[in-house]
Amino acid sequence: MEEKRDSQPAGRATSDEVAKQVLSHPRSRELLARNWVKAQPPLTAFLAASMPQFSDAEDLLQEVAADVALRFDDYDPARPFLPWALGIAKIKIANFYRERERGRVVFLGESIEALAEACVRVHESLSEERAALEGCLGQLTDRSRTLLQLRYFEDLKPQEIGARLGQESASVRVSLSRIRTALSECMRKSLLGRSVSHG
Amino acid sequence: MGDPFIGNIPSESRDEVPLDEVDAFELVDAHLDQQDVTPEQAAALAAWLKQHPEHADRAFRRIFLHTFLRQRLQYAAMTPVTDLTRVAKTNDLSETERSALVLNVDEAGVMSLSRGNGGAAITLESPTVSVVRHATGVWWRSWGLALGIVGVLVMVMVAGWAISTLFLSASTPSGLWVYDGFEYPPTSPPAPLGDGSKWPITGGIQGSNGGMGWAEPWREEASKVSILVADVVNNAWRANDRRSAHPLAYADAQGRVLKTAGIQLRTAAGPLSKSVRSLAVTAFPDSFLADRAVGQDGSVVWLSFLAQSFDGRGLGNFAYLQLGTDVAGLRIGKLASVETGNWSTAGVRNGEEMNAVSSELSSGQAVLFVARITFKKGEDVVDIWIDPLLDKEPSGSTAAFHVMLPDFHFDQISISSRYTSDFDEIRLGGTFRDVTPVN
Repeated sequence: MEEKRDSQPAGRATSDEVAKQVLSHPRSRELLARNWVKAQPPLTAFLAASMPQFSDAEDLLQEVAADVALRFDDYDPARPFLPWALGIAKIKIANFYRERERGRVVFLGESIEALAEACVRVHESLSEERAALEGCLGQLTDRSRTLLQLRYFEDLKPQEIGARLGQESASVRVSLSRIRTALSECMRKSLLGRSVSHG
Repeated sequence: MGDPFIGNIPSESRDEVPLDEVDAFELVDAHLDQQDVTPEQAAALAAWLKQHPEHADRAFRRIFLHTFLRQRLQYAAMTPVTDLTRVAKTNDLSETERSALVLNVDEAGVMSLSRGNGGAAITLESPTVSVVRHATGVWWRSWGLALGIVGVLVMVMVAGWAISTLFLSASTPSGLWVYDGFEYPPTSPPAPLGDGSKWPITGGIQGSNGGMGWAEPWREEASKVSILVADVVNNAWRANDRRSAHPLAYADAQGRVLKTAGIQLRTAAGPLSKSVRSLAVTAFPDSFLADRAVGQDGSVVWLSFLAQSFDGRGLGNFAYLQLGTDVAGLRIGKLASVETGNWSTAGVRNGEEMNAVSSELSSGQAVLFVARITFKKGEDVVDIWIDPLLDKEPSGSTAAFHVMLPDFHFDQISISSRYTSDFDEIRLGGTFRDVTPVN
């Protein structure tokens, strides 16, 4: 925020000031807060899939958040919020690659729209899935927990984890994929069980 | 109704799928684990994603699992229970509410959006509302009368502390006992710019043995290493690196310039670097030592150092200097428990940050920290000034922080980080003047 103020020409409103004006209305504030709470997890996942590194996705999420606040007056509350925010995210992704003169998004390529549509379809269930995953994390073995810790907390690549544990990186990749599949399966069963028990 | 996670894909569609789900998920995992994916594999995955909405839904759930794990594990491991989270828990906030972006509006109408767990934040004005202030607001409403009584007691204690401090100041030995200005050769080759995954994992500050008052060279205890940077202008991590304007230095508001030398320490961009160095405690007066560490009750130690982070970002990121250990110590810098990312301090007890307080200064701003640690029977106390005048010892009333610490001793300094930040000119001494020499 401070950086933006420093670079702003004198006499011109900063983006912070604009956002403050836009969000000065209590209704806007409430609406933005409510919508963002729901949209942030799927947006994070969408950006993670689109960026070369997770740290880039986290940076871009901040930029999306800032733009969402800036443009919130353009948002039509009669329409769903997530597709609107995804539109901003897609522009940010395009800008990211253009500014860095990188090639197109190799991983997503032309399927970026398919994933954006999936994001809209499944986002309503993500909070429920998240709660189920919390329970599933507690069922992991110590070894699985260690691998996840090395991957996500220490941010080590499979090669680095392999070097740390004295294993082949391919073995680490397979193990990580199996842990994720096991967590997905646990979550699925947990939610299906809950659905059955609730009639 | 079909299984929402398996879906109802017609069998003929499955026959046409060039990848099966296991292959597709392996490619998704490979991309998110920063493994190379060939153009052919990417094309096959794209075709699979577009073939049926169920495919895209399942792939998205897999991606969401990655983001969930990253945020969940980083938050659980790095963010200790703070006063704020304790208050949040007493207010029965759900995990979802605490983990999402929330809109805060303080009494003055300043709005900020902040993250609980792994998200983005929008601060619409200079973040003047500290985490602790937010928490204490709730506390005051609930315990106003009790705190009023406690307040009187605290005033009595503070008066006693002030008297004892004055007395101790008069009799405290002086001298500069520990110093490192990082007068080492710069790390060569420099870290590749902009790509945290290629940050050095060996070399850097490891084994550097300069300065004075140390028992051993610097050693690295995490997956990445801190490096030594001489040319900050041409080593901007990214275009918006706040550190690239000039090397770390400090001149007070009246033009006095802190004596600096050498180059500066730069912590890793991406988890994690932890640079540790043990002190030669014999450099301190005997009266300061207890159990072969510094911190005898009644002693007063001054600490100073320069610091600047890549930018002001918080959100669970950290880069701090620590006196003591994770069992008991003092942290100063950008703290994981302070979401604004502003310069802060906290005590440490069994790995948890305690009594964290934050300033209004962005950690993207270069600052001089000067801390006075008063070791007492029971809890210790630290007063910290940010960018003080260098003409004389500043008064306690101008301190940015006054924090009670768990009783601690120290025989090492560490610099831990998961957000690239620079540190320089570390000094420990007996008086303010000892740790703030001017040119």
